[in-house]
Amino acid sequence: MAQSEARETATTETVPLPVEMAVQERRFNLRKLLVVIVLYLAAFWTLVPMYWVAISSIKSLRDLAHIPPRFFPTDPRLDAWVTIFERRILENVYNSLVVATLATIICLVISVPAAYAATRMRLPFKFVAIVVGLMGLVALLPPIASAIPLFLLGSDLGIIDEKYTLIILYTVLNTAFAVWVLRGTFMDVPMDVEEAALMDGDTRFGAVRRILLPLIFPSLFSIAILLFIFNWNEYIIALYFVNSMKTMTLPIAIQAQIPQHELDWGVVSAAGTIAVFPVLVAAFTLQRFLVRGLTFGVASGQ
Amino acid sequence: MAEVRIEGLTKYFGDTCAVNQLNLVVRDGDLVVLLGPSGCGKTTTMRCVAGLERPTYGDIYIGETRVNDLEPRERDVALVFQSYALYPHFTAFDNIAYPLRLRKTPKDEIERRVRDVAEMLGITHTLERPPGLCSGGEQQRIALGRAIVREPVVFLMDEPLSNIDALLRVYMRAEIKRLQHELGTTMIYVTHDQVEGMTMADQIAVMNEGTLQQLGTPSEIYDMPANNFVARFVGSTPMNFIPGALRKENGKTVHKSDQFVIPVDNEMAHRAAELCPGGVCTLGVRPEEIRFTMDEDGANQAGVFLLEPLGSETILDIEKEGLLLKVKDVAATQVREGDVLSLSFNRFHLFDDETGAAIR
Repeated sequence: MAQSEARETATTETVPLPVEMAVQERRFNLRKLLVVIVLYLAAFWTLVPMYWVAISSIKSLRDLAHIPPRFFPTDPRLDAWVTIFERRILENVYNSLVVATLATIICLVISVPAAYAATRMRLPFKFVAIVVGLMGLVALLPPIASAIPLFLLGSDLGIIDEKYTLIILYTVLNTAFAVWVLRGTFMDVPMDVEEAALMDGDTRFGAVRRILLPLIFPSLFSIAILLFIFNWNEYIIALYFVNSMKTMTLPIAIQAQIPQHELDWGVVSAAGTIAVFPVLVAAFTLQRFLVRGLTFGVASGQ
Repeated sequence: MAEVRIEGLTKYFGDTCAVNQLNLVVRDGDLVVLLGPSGCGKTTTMRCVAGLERPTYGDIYIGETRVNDLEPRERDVALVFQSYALYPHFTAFDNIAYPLRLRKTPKDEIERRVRDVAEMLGITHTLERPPGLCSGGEQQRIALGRAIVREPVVFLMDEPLSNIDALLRVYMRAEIKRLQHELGTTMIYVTHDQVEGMTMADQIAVMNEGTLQQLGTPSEIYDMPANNFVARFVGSTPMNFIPGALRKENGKTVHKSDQFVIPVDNEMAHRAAELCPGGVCTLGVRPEEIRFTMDEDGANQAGVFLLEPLGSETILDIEKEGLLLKVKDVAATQVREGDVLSLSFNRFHLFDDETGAAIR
């Protein structure tokens, strides 16, 4: 509560919140206008590259090469899309879906109990601090730092170019991040509610399953989507561990569309559009859940 | 329904001793209030009974069963939390039904029992709502309902009224006491509010710094405090303390302080001589036990410096040479600020300065 108040007072100094804007309705306000302009600029800035990729996938070669660049295709065609499907892009989509989904689920299955233990069990404080601190460190480590040693390990074990290897690696690399975020989420749920369930006759596991997890479901779902996006976009590790079409995920497939001599921007753009699409869907779902998560907390807050 | 017996309960958190060698028997069907300032160990004691904490030493019995090693769910006690701890994602109905569902009660019986309890508490209209959309008082009743519905052998209440407004609190106080009488279930009620303790309890256990100070009925606690802590903690206008010593004057024992000379009857003087050889002791007197006259030349004179009218009575703040006394004036006399009064002390207690124990 205190936090949100602090945030509100802080923001009134600079940018009014939407709520405040609604309160001051009708009164014309230069500040409000400025905010809207800034927001539109930001939206434009973010969306133009996506629009550009999408539009480039249906442009003719002439339009693609045209200077100054054309914002609207004069002669739209689907050649690039035909090519990309001929190159079996759907197999890459399937690989990416399998790897990203399974890695997300396994990661949550591991990190939910870990985060629970780190917040709820009375472990020695130092122990928790060290473990969680180390995990945070791993989460901040650039992936390239671990890619080469992991590759060496993988080739010794002979598990290069396997989907399950990617799943294991993504799970491991994201667990630290997931535990960190989940820990914060668990700490927001008062211990009382769980203890009440214990008193009412539930087991600890039952209390977690019936009370705690449903309570944090919006956050849990948001974290799942974030993890999915991380996995979906992952490039560096995949670059080392993918050798064939059998394991090739989308980011690598897009890279593979850039051949040595003749570069077809249309095909690359079509692949890029396919890669962006699930992320867009995820982001919109995420947004709805984030909003729900916030109001949920307000309604239950004492 | 069962007796709760706590034997030598000691609880450490790290190096901090929260409860120290506590012995307490809560008789079957009694409402016992654990009363004390925050940090006195009352909540820890209750959580040990609930099973949410494990005692470091000592035993807890519910009925004839030693429950130290039992999980909360195996103890059949219900706990109402200070924060109510309702499940925000359930409706009020599901909140109350939760303990029954866990016990695999048949559906129609759940329906009947939840409705009965809701009617008893006057919250039938809230049953379909989530707790977030209920008022504080309604949430309180939902929490009570959840505890009552499964008919536990012991109720535990952890400051259940501290989050609702003052008016409702006075009402709920009586309501909880009535419920406890009707159900006849043993109840341990934790509070730091001595008024709550006095009004509700069959027995009050006053605690301080992890140890039990006194166990007794509200009137025993009020009229015969075992030590100066209990004397100071209980009473809405606190007891007055006058440091001094017992002396013989003209063959009679008096309590002599810098401000007053107060005669002590022979019996008390005799015991004081036994218990407190040096004679150094503090006299404690409740505000309503100080009588006063407007007599200008009587003994023990002191000036009124402030009046605190409370409607039915007035508190006179009296000062003499750095000592402040509060005197209750129930008779609505015409005392004004600046008046000089002559005081007499009707009933008082003596406390040994070394141990703090009452001399009696």
